[in-house]
Parts: sequence; structure tokens; C-alpha cells
Amino acid sequence: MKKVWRSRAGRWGAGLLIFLVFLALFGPSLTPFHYNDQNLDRQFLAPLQSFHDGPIHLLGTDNLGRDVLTRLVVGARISFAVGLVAVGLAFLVGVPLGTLAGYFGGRIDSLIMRCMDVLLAFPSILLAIAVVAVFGVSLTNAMIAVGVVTIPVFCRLTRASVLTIKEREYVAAARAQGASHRRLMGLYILPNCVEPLLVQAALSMGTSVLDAAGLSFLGLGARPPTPEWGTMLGDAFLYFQRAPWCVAAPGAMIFLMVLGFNLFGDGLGEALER
Amino acid sequence: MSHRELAWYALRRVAGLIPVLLGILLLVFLMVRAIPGNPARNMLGQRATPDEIANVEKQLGLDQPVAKQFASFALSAVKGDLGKSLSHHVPVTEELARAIPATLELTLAAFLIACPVGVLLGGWSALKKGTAADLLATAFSLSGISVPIFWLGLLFILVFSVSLEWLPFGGRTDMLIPPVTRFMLVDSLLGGPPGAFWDCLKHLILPAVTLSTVPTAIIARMSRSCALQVLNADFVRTARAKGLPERAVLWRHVLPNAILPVITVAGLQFGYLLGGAVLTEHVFSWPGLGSLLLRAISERDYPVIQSAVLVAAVSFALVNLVVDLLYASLDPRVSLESNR
Repeated sequence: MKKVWRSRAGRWGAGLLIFLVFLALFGPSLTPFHYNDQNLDRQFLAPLQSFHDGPIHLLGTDNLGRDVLTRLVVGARISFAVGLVAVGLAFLVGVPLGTLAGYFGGRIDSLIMRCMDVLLAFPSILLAIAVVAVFGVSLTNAMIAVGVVTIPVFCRLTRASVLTIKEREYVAAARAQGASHRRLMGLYILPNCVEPLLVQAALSMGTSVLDAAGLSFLGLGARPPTPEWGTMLGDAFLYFQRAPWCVAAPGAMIFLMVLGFNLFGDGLGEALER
Repeated sequence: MSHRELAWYALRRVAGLIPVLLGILLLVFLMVRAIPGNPARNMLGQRATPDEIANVEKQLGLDQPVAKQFASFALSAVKGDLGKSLSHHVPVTEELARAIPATLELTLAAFLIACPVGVLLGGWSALKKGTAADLLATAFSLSGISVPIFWLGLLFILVFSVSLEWLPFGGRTDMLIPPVTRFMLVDSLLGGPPGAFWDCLKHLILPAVTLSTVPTAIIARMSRSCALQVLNADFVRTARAKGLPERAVLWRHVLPNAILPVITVAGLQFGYLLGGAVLTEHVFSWPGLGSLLLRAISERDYPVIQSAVLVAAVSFALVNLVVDLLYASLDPRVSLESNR
């Protein structure tokens, strides 16, 4: 972490992410409103206005009179969860497949990599849309869809690392001592592939959040009244000329989170190269 | 690489594409079969009569053994027969023929913005390394890859259409233009009323700029890192030591060497553009493949969904092939061995 902190990108990224984690953890208890507290009398209040001497709505209210800031901070929790589930799924499936392909080579490698080539042949958001179209519209399916399209990235990266590391002398030594395939892969090869995978995980968190928000914006992810940022933008799209703050705020949050992950990923990459 | 070697390489790449295309067909085929429950009932809704369900099952071939279904699906797809739309009862190819030119026009416009802007921005950033200009360009490219384009599109509309009223938003034109090629810019010149071309261009600017943001940023990042690598190379130092003017060093030595990896990255952006077009088309009510796909999803029109996804994936695979071949033909250092 010290090395990441030394890079400018890493510092900015970590700072942004710490801020967003703080917001996700403590934000909902710091605002005086509930994220789904509806009141049509106070709909479309502009930022910094209050209703009948009540608490100020820092970022205004939406079409149902809900406090935009409260919904945003609750949405941060959802976005982190989306990123973690999607990247977790891609990691858990992609890394073992990549390890098997790289370690055994031959037909297993060809089979796995041809499947990955097919997945990579689809533009990612289109494949995610297709998955959601088949299994139904929900936040869970959107997370799975985004995870599925990320699998080939981890699979390819792991395979490339395994191909290099399996030729190292310490692996040959362990093999000569009679270590099983499982032991070789799990104890000697995989732990040494972790560094590039960590960088990729950080970068993929950003793209996953972005893709999932895109699906929700299209109405193919989280459903209202879930305060997911993409869904909030999708709702605000219907009245964006009347309440531009309802568009600006959730989009800015998506941007900041993705930027945070991208900067952190860049910083992590720089730190590991040193 | 000689012409013969290149032809051999191209042949092997095309052969390598066949299993990928088969895989795409299989995955698209399995889409409908993976629908939980009875796919025909899901498409038609709970009120569908057994006759209607049987009809759709027959139309989609769901009453046949799976292997036979796939063989007939693949054969029809290769022949260009993608079935009939369940909601509009017209051949899917007809619907695609209307939507594809709109998406192509948009993606090509975005591509034509992204490539020069990205290369210039990245190159300029590399030349000014460490200065405020470099920092600004780097900040732009990092922001570009992080920004949700659907949000950016909405902001553009708010600023340029609603507040400043400079550019229109929504649709491809406000005029009646007889369709000839279905590329509005071309059709407006062929048979549109006066001012039609300008109107079409004005409608295209905001969606194209929105869609080009991410590819521009990615190309800029790649161009910067490639240019920096080449600027520090020995042959550039030699060229400078020989006393060549800086402009000649940049144009004759740096650019040709730095541009090659950028071509690959730029080609890969086509896939992104196709995906991003879905979001952009939704924001700007652009009647392309993305809008067709979203409409089909809301109507559970699976033949249309399958076909739209198939067309996008096959186009992406073909563009990647073209990019690979272009790269191999442009760079004499690409050895056949490394591509085997």
C-alpha cells in the first residue's frame, strides 16, 4: 500500500475510494431522510432548498420528492456490491480456467481459450444485455451478466502468467520432488500470478460498475425504487429538462467511482512494476 | 513479410475465425433455449393459447431435436434467413436493414472523430511530457475512460440543445428524406430537400461526439505510451544526432513506428462502439441496432434479439480479422512464427 501511495494516480484513486467507502458506510445515517421517503408536495426541489423549514435538501429532490443525496449515498453501497459480485464471479471462474489452460496446454488449453475467444467476440455490454434478456431483468442478473463478460479478461491474464511461471526453476524443482498437479498449481504457480490479477481486479471493478449502471439505465438492471445510480439516471432521463440536478448527481457519482478504481488500478500497476 | 507469406497468414487467420463464428452461432442459438420455462410461453405471455404457443414453437423449430435445431439455425443464418419478428411479423432482415445503416453511420462518425483526435492528443501529450499540457491531456484521457457515456450524452443535450440551442437532439433528421442508401448523410445529398445535409449533420454531431469519448481516450492513452517508447528509442536518437530537423524525425521516424500498435487498439474500439451505440442510441432516440434490440427485449421478440446480437458479434469478429491483417501487412517486423 505504501508503494501505491507513492504514485500520484494511486494516491488520488485511493483517496476517492476511501471517500466513497466512507459515504457508503456512514452516509445513510448522516442524512435526515430515508432513501425512499416520498412526498409529492416537495417534488423537484432544487439543490440547497428546504421544504417548510425542514432540513435542507443539499442535492434537491426528485419527481417523487425523495432526497437525491440520501439516495446517492445508499446507491454507493449497491455500486460497491455490484462491482464486488461481478469481479468476484469473473475471478472465481476466470482464474481457475486460465490456470488449467496455461498449466496443461494442449487440447484443454485450446478448448478453454476458444470458448473465451467466443465470449470476447461479443461487445461486452451487448453480451450482458443478451444475458439479461434471457434470464430476466433484475439487479442480480445484471451483476451476473457483467461478471460473465469479465471472465475472459481474467482467464487470458491468468493463462499468460501461468505460461511464464510454470517454466521457472522452483516449479521444476517442486515437480521433480513429486508435487501433484494440484499442489503445483495451487502452491507454486497461482500465488505468483496474483500481482497482475490484482491490478486487473481494480480496473475491472470500474468497468463492472460502469456496465451495470449502463444496464440499469436501459431498464435492464436494478428496478425502481432501488437507488442504484444507473436506475436513478434512467428515471431522471424522463424529466431531465425540468430537474437537471437529478441527472448530474448520479452520473457524477458513477464517474467518481469508476475514476477512483481506474486511478487506483493504475497506481497499483505502477507500484508493482517498481 | 512477402505477399505469399501474408496470404498464407490471412488464410490461417480466416480458418481460425471459423470456430469462433460457430461458437457465436451456438451461443446465440442457446440464448432462446436458455430461457427458463417454456420459451414460447415466455415470449407470448401467460395469456397465450396452446395453438399460439405451438405456432411459435414451430416457427422457432423448438419442436425438433436440439442438434437438428442448431443445424437448421446455423444454415439459415449463413443463408441470411434470420426468421420473422414475432411482434411485427416481418422478416428480421428487413428490420435489420433499416437499423444497421443508422448504427453504422453513428459508429463510423464516432470512429472518425476518435482516431485523429486520440492520436493527436496522445502524441502531443508525449511530446510535452511532464508539462501542464501533458497533465491536462492525461487527465482528459483518464476521465474519458471513466465517464458513463449515457450521462455525458444527457449533459451534452442539457448544454448544447436545451440551454444554448445550438444542436438538435432526438432522431436522425427533422426533414423528410427519401431513403436510398439509408445512410442519412448520403441520402440527404442524393434526394433530400435543401438544407437536409446540414440538418442530418447537426443531428449526428452530439451522438457521435458522445460515443467517441471513450475510444478517443483509449487511443490517446495508447498513442502517448507508444510515442514515449519510440521517442526514447536508439534510432530516434541517431536520427537527431544526424542533424535531421525535429519535424522530419517526428514524421519519418516516430509516427510510422508509434502508430502501429495504435491501429490495433483503434480497431478493437469498433466493438466498444457497437456496444456503446446501444446506450447512445437510447439517449438520443437514434433508430439503430441498439434501439431495435431494446425494443425487441421489451417485446420479448427473441428472433430479433438473437439477430441483433449475432450481427454485432459477427461484425466485431470480422473487424478484428481485418485489423490483424492490416497490422501484419503494415509492420514488416511481424513475423509469421509469432503468429503461429
